[in-house]
Amino acid sequence: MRQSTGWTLHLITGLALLILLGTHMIIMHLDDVIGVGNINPDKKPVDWENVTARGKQITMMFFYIIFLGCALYHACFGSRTILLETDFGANNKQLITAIVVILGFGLFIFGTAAAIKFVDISQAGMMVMGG
Amino acid sequence: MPQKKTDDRRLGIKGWALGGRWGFERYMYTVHRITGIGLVVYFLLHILVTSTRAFGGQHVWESLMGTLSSGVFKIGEFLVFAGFAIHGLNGIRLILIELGFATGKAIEPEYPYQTSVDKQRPIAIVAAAAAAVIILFGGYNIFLAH
Repeated sequence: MRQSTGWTLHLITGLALLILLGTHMIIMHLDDVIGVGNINPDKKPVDWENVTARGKQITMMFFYIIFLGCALYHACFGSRTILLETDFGANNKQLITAIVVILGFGLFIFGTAAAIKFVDISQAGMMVMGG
Repeated sequence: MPQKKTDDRRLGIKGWALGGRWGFERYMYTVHRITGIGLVVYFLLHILVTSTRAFGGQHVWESLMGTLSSGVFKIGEFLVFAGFAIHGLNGIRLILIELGFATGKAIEPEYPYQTSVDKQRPIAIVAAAAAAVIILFGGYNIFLAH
């Protein structure tokens, strides 16, 4: 991939993250100030009831996977840019790129598997809770 | 014999602290890098922690969240929130400049000379102020509201 294409994708994922991460921060860290996105407002966003209520929704699963992909790309490309500024990185560009790509894809597969598996856990949990 | 391309002026990562003329935007450049690294480190740990709800189940998740809700982790949560606000708002500024919205049109160099900093500086100040407001809301939510 050309450097200019990589940089353009870095900008696009950055803009996407403003929306995706912004939404995540509002739900998870501004629950008392704004208070949206939690099924049980009396409980914290990280309480199991709220986590499973979000996790059982297919739309949330896609949200997490797209969010994960954008965040990983932005993080990996940004890290690579910084690493290439070091003397070691400047002399080992291909090695740095390979490590970043393998780490990024590995974490994307791991995180996507977790998001998909959690839909089943959440839906099963809701059925038990609902009788 | 091929000559190795080198540039004696290349500072590498030391340029974050030593390179160029220090202005407000230069500080924001360094802060953007530092917050970026901090967010990457947190993000990698965050993927592992949040995956425990799928691979560990309710008991493991609640035990982990109980540990992570203690004092020192609250400070960490606030730092991550602040890092997000600074990196995100400054990122908007950088994209505006990158796409040419915040640099102004090219003009003839006539006295009194104008620089693109005249256009960029107000945007940098607005970005920093907006980040500060968001950080205050986050701090209130994390430390005071519960």
